[in-house]
Amino acid sequence: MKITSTAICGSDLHLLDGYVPTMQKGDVMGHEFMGEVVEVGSGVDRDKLRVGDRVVVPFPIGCGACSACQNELWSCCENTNPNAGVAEKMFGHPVAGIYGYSHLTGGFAGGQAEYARVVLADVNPLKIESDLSDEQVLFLSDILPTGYMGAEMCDIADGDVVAVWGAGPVRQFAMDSARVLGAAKVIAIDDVPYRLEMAASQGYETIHYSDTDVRSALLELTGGRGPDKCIDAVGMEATHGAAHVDLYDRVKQAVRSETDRPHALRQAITSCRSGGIVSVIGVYGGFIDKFPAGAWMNRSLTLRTGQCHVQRYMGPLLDRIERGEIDPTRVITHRLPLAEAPHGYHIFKNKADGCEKVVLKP
Amino acid sequence: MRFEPAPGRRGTAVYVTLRYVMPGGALGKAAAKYFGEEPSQQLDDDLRRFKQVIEVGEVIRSDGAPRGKQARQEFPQHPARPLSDEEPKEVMA
Ligand SMILES: NC(=O)c1ccc[n+]([C@@H]2O[C@H](COP(=O)([O-])OP(=O)(O)OC[C@H]3O[C@@H](n4cnc5c(N)ncnc54)[C@H](O)[C@@H]3O)[C@@H](O)[C@H]2O)c1
Ligand SMILES: [Zn+2]
Ligand SMILES: [Zn+2]
Repeated sequence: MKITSTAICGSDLHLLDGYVPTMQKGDVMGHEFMGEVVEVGSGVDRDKLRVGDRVVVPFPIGCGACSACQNELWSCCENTNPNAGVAEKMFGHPVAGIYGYSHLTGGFAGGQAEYARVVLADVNPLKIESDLSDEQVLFLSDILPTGYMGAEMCDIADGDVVAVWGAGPVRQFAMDSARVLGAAKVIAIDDVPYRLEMAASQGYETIHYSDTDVRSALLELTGGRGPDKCIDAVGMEATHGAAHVDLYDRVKQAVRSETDRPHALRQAITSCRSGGIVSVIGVYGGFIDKFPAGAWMNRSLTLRTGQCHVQRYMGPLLDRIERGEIDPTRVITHRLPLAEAPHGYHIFKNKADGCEKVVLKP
Repeated sequence: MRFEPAPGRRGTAVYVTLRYVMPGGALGKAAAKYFGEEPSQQLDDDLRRFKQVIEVGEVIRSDGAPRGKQARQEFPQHPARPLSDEEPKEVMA
């Protein structure tokens, strides 16, 4: 396909910062992309996909036939990762192939490019037949379904209070989804002021974690019980308000005796009300230290997680966009030509220039 | 080879028993493993590709692993970028 729009994701930062093993020089990155079909392989069913179709590509590659895909666990597809052996050593069982996301997930060239080869093209891409703009549908490739799945895993009941760690673009969508699913109050936790302002402008409560004791602030907001549901949308590169704790994990991560810095996850587990659900959509790649197993076990918490099963959500979320219930364009702060991608990465990583989400145009 | 129903009737499990003599004893075995040519590794490759062909109808190939699942010469791979016009011959050799 010829790519018309592509985006930079928080997951790309984990690759850029060197926390995901098996990246190689010359790899093409990018797993959020859409565009126009310019050539169709001989094995593709012409009733499903033709030259000229406009499509959004989900980041996990599904085969549609294995037991995982049939159960809509697309990111755990048993067939699409040719490097299943390495993934198995790392994770115990292999995971699906993913575009532009290291060789651990298959070594597929990504979509921050002019063209991309889409694998099993009659199973995965979503055809866009209405006149919605690229920006309205691009995020169906990843962050909108991911945010939605983060909220869905919380089994939100009417009146629930939901707290979300990380005010990146994924989190913004997790909050919008939590509200759509019936949460009474949604609380955003981050330390980047403009990102918290973006959340506040949508009517969400905010907590700045470097100036506040997050657990106490959450108790204040929930009548002393803690949030019913907690979403970790930060992942392995969390920073910590208390310098000594941050240093402990940074040192362990630097010497590779711990691969991930799980501050947000620890805090979500200790803050959640007893019997609540902690939903993890921030990405972890390896091993963590000081997992609060006691809080988790003794207070009957449920931990749920996964790389998003994007294919499961694309159709229903497209309907919601068409009905105007969710506006994905609200997170876009920068539109740049593909050639300026390095600058895009720089401002997104360093939270500079008010950057929330960068869309690249080849 | 044995074909048996998988637990809960979820598909068919395929078992392969292979008897072989590895030249070079323990050292030979270690060397073969290092190069991804230990029979169990090759069998793992074959069985995964077999599952792909049966379930999906083709062997799944990526830019990094154009030959599909293969323990031999697994890393470093071809970078995850499209192969040049000359490369397919080389890589598939
Ligand atoms: N599960 C999936 O399928 C999936 C898909 C896409 C992205 N992700 C992951 O979601 C996460 C967020 O992605 P993004 O694009 O929004 O990235 P991002 O880097 O823009 O957002 C992360 C945010 O977390 C904040 N943060 C850091 N430490 C924190 C802490 N201790 N407490 C609270 N907030 C903290 C940062 O200030 C930042 O605003 C990443 O880990 C990404 O890999 C997962
Ligand atoms: Zn992403
Ligand atoms: Zn599958």
